Amino acid sequence: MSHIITHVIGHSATVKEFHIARQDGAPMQDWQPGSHIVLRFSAADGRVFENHYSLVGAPGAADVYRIAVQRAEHGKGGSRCLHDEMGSGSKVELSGPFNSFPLQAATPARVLLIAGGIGITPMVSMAHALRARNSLFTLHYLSRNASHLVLMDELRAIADMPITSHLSQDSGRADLRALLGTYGEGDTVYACGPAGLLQAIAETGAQLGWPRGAMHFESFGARVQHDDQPLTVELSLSQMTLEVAPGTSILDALIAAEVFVSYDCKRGECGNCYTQVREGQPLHRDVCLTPPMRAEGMCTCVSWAAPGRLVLEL
Amino acid sequence: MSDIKHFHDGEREVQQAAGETAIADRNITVMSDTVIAGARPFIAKQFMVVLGSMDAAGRVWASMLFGKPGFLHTDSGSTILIDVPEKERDQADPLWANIAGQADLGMLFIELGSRRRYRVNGTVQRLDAQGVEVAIREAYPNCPKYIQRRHLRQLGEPQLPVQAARGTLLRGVVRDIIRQADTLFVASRHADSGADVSHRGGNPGFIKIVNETTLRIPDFNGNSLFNTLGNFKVDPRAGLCIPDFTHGQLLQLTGTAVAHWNQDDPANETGGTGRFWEFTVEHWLLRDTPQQLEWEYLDASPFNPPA
Repeated sequence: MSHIITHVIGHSATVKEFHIARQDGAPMQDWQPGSHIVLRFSAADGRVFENHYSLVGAPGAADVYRIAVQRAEHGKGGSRCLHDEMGSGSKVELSGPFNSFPLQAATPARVLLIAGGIGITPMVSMAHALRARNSLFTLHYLSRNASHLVLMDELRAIADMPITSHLSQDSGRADLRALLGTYGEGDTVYACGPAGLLQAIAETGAQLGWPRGAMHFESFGARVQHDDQPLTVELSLSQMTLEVAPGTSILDALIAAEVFVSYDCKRGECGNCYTQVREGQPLHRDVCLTPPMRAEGMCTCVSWAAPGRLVLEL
Repeated sequence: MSDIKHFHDGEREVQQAAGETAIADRNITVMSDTVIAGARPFIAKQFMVVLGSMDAAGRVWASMLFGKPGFLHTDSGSTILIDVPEKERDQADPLWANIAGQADLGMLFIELGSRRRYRVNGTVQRLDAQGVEVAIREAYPNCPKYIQRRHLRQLGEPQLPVQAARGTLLRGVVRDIIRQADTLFVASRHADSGADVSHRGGNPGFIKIVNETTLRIPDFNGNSLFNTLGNFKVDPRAGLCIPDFTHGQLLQLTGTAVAHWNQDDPANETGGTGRFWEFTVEHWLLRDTPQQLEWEYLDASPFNPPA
């Protein structure tokens, strides 16, 4: 094990912050705003988890990396293992940092940061970086209620931090139209949160004239839903039929069957796995496709389908 | 990953400029040095391949070959065979002289009807009266974005010679073909990593004619590898092939290309990237295809930004 947890801080009933350092005490690699690490760790029962976590704090040089983890009661178990079994001195394996959610070059136009729940984590480093380069930006923090807001002290400590919280328990769902506003040239939005929120932002943005390339998303959370049924996927060009059980993505089943497919993010953010649908009713869970794209095809990496035949043009 | 250098400096520089280095690193994992099992039957049923090659003067050309399904195949997955016998080769296509002299060859197997494509780059190992055998350096699938769907309804027997016209300025029928085009192929090269050919598509008009020698093409969001723009950074020589599906002609242009970043784009021609590349033509060649082709246009890609 290459790394060690040095410190744990409770932020709320469900969110804990972990500090991670190298075992040999050497400094960590410099990191960029929006970066994440991949953490590998084992539970007492032998299960091994490999999860991605955004780095928290001011980017750049670091002696420790900070992550904030929400305990997901019905998740795959990684966050419960970290919360319930890991503490100061626990060993973990770390790789990265990686950055698939980079901050683009500065423009004079406005920058919107939108966080849904624990999606606040990458926004802290983005806010630090935007403040450092004097960009015009606003952070919108969407949460259920005030007790679920975390890292607020740190955010408020950033000079003149423009932060607005939207609490659904008080005021219902956030008004995304008002929050995004009409697109002006050069405007960018960075949003991190559950896939459903990001889909709503993408759809509202499109209605308000935001080009797809001006909206940057990082999604998290399982897309699998409890009532997903096993699928029989027919491939019309390869003359193959695959049985896919919930928990495995259609894309992973295609790759395992050595069907030749293109893909990239595996999170419904890029559209590179887009596949034409000949028959069937896809249940779309991507955050990148427009309604005309969904009318003909689907992202096999995250989307599922209603029971019945699903025929893909592959 | 860290042991092998997957990208040359030009590609890396462009990936960094786009802020997509991490995506490129993740994406490169789909690259292999053989044709994966699932892609072999795909190649064997194609009737068309797009090729990128270099002539003796170092000019880069993009070409298209057609044939009965089966004329392209890979048995081992480590070489690809292109069975075009000598008598069926149109010697007006620079391709044939090019590969006799320079072994680097970029190949793109693209099925317009299903928007599937597989990219294979390599070197010509054998060129004889029967055909060409290409040793594979790298192979990988590309995404279906920006491809307009077309079915080939009929493929005729090859008939040679066919008529060909040449020129240096973009005028008359050449302009008309470019204005109506929704599909183009662009070949580029790098001294170490060889030739490469890739697809660009958009709504008709996406290729802008700037003047009699210059074209401007928007660069949409892609696979973040930036093979083409990365090559231009190091070696600006480029070849374009623009098929005229209605009249069964191929417009092949060779010249140089340069990428322009952070451009004003009020009409959102680039789909948000602000990137364009400009192509300066040195020579063009307009040929009929040796086979008569009857295409049926189905629909435009739902990913195309408005032209």
